[in-house]
Amino acid sequence: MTERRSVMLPDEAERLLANWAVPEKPPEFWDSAQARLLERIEAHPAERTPDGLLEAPLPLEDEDSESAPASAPRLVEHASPRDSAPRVSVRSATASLPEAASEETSLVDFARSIGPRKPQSSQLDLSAREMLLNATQVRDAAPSVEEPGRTQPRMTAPLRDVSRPVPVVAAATSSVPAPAVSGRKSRILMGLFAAAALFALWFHFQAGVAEPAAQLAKNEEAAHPELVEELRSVSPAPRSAPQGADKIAPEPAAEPQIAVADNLENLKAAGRRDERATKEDFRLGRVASKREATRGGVAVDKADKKGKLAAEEVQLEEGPTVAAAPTANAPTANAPPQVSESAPEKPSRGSAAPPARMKPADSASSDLPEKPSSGAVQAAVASRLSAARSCVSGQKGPSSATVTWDSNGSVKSVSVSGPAAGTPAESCIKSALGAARVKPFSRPSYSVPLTIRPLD
Amino acid sequence: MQDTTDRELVEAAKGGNKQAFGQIVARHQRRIYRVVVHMLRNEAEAEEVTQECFFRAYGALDRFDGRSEPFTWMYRIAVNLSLNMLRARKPRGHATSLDDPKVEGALVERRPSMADPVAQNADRELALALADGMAQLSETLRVTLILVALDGLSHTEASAVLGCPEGTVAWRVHEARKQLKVFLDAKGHELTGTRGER
Repeated sequence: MTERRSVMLPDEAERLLANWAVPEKPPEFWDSAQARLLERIEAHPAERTPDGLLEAPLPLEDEDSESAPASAPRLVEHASPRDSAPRVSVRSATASLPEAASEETSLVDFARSIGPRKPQSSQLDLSAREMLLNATQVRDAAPSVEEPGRTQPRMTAPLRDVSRPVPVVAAATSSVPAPAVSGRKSRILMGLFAAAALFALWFHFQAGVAEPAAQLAKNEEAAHPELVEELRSVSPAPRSAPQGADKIAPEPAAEPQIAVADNLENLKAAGRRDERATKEDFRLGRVASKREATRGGVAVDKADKKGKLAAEEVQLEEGPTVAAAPTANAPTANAPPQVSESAPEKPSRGSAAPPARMKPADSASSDLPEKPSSGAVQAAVASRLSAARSCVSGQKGPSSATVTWDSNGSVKSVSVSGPAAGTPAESCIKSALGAARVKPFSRPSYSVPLTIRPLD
Repeated sequence: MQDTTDRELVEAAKGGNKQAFGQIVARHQRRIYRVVVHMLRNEAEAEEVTQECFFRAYGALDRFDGRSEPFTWMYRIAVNLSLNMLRARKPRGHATSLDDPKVEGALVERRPSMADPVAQNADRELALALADGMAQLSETLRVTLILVALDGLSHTEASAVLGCPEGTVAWRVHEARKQLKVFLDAKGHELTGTRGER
């Protein structure tokens, strides 16, 4: 049984949060407030409300970017001293990203901005990989340029390093199709510069060879599209290298990726989650990581991010499972509006997800309790009770409400009796209690009587 | 008119029926006031914002497209007005005073334990610490926590109010609770019955 996976405050604090009332006003106050409002509307009927008041009140934060729409503005209020890292190369690299182009961005921000949005950044990665592939094949056409002593180690490098997402920091700014380099080892750097210089010299004197070589690369792409596709896909598993591709210098190309990953690691180390939360996020992230693994994605360095969303997804697995089970009230997927608003969230990522999450009907029904536990009912009601009580504030005596849950755990009906019945408070109570969801159970329905006492 | 839905009332109000709009006000003004008090922690300002919220909602009825529930739409206006009010305020210390309506409300709600002075004091301390902790949350986290944890909106409703995905709401609530927990721990509120993380 999957429990809701979230940080819980101490019991007293949770209870206080769920039942935190505000000093209430007498009914006369609300009557007069309503009358004043209507008078004001009469006096100023044509006053137009600014559009800004109708828009989403808060911008998405950096941490929200995992589930944020692509056009969401990014906040920088949590900028850390680390953000003062050198920016020049990153800005040049982000020139082709419309969202990031107008902002000065640190390496960390850049990595975060492109990290979760694989589909958007894949175009960038592909162009870098294509350039790398072309460079490889051009080199294949002229193997004599390679330094003999360095060719051998490169031959042993796995192909997947080549196919990793490669930042275009060097590749995009270089006019020569040379592999991207890092400055970790100056000796390697100088060697590569020398190789690049030799390469350019060789091009200059043998232009007649270079063009056919480039043409050869294009022909190779056209002749083996499946190979190109394979190179474009990211796979954690080592694969056999296609012809000639192992001769490229993959180590330098991979190093910028490592640098970005280091930044992400630094971010985590300095970050806003403690060790326990990170462990939990990784634990929760298994679901997302498995999916990533099946797609061949590099899920490890994002597992904690995915974990946040996985927490929601894991929670969602319960609702649709039982809704699909052939229990007595199986068709309750078409629940009344107040039920559907608290029903398990729609699968936000991928409409094909619900069938995959459904368990076999027999196992689902056999696992179900006959009725929701009293603790579950209390928990479901407690979070809603204060809102319901605020509906009857100012009334003389307590009202009664009977909440009836359907077997899928959603509220089937709420009946109100007592002073609140027949008043605006009745619909207010129904609205408040209508979203008190419990876990699915096997009975057709389950009812609980509640007493709604006024707050004051 | 008791059985009329909010949407029907809004449609009637769009047609100029002010009584229908009055019904909407009667239904939702307490809830709007409640969430605004939580945000502003000032009763007088909350009354003003509640009134303004409905006035502004009436002025924008023609732009209510029905994609969300009327009450979440009005919540959004109330949250925007509250944030405007907060931003217009002069910065002030975030130490919570005992006459803060938030603390007072918490103590009223927990009246049964008031007989015990020790419990009363503990409740007061906890309410103060929680109010202080919430004041230290970022605006985004605080508003989301108020809507979900204090006001009892579902993630779906909160996402409709805030205009963000439900997953984002879930994460914000998670993060807000985590930061509150750290804050309470730092304040020495090692309370019994801790459920911790599951």
